[in-house]
Amino acid sequence: MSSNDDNKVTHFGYQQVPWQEKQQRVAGVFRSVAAKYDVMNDLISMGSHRVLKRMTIELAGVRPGQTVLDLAGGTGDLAIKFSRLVGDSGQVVLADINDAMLSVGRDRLIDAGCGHNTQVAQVNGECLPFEDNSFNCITIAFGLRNITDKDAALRSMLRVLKPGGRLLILEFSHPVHKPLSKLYDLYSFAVWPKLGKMVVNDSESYRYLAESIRMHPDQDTLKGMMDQAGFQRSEYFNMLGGIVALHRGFKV
Amino acid sequence: MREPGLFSTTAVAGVERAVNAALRSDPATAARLSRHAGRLLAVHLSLPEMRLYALIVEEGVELYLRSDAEPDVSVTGNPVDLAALVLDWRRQPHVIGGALHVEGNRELLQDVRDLAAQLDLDWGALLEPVTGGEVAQQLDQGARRLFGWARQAFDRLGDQMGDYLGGESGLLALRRDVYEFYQDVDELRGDVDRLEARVQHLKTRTDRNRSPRP
Repeated sequence: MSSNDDNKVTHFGYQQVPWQEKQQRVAGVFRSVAAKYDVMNDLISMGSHRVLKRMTIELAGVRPGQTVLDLAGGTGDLAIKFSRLVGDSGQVVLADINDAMLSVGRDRLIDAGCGHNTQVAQVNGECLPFEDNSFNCITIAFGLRNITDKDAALRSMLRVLKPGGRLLILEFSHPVHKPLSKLYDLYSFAVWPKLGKMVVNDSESYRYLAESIRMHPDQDTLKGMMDQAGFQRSEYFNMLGGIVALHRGFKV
Repeated sequence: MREPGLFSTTAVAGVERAVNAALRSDPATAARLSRHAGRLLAVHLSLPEMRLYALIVEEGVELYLRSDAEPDVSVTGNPVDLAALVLDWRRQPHVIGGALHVEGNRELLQDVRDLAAQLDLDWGALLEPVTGGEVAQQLDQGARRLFGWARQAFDRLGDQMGDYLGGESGLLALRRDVYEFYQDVDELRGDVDRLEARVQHLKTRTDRNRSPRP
């Protein structure tokens, strides 16, 4: 690693941390919340994350026999649905950098009877260990925000997508209306850490969540990053007034 | 930029949850349905224009508003005819029209229709976590009476409308009349085919008689 890389800093929530440190810090957050990740998601999103993920699945357009990579797939809720959609002739890879999240996801896949057409892989999204042109579809739901080098991750995803394949990024974004933005700030900074304290005895992780959302690129910036990485026909769909956005791009 | 329908997706998620809750309360039907796990059914409503896809899975069904997959069977029709098909409402013998267009595996559709008709919704079990056992039992009985009454009312209404539209007003043809019409058309088609064969035969004989003998 060059001395230039050693001096680089990035954000971890509102903090500036050395480039190499963010990955470990994010890992610490998810290790802390893995066991009750789904419960917390239901609480802080008031159940809406399920509908958002359902819309992601519909826009993924996955068909029987296809291969799908669910990156940062965590506890596997998207992978379970994809497993059923691709059928016996297809293949789904549930991938995450975090072993604790992946362990929960693997158990859920087995419990859901999806073991026959799914694989679990611990991977770094910035340098995916898959051959070029491997997947018909890649999804990353609420995960891109935590990746240190997002540009490298987008390039890596493009490389492993098959021509004609599509990438879907479901991620917190920036509300498009000012009053909603104020209300959302109030809710996320005041309520999420308290819920985190009550449910997983960890308020810091949920403070990081609220801060990291504000530091994440807005809708148009992320679309530009996808274009820059080489995705074609990139577009985004604002959901819940822009609190969440679903970006989609194709490899042509 | 256009947005996917958050409300319609939420509504479909609610319907999926209700159907699966009903299936959990009727394990026999759920087990029969799970034999079709992996099959995709498509329903195209003509009015309002809407598409719905049902993927049968081990634990029940998953409903989607979009799918790029080729369905095993697709049904197109208006909501009333589709409801009549799914809920096994007695089809009105008098009225023509509202026919469903079915493409693909008809046996699968028939089996799913039969399962839907047999599905014994245990409203009490569905409501018990919310209302408690006693209230749920009362609501269950009320729901069964209400649905029974609605089904009878629908049948009666269909009978009366059919009588009026088909018999008294003459606005619609009776199913029996159309059947007879189809029979007549078939008979006429057969007569025409036979006549054409006869003409052809006579023409051949005439040509043979005209040709100079060696």
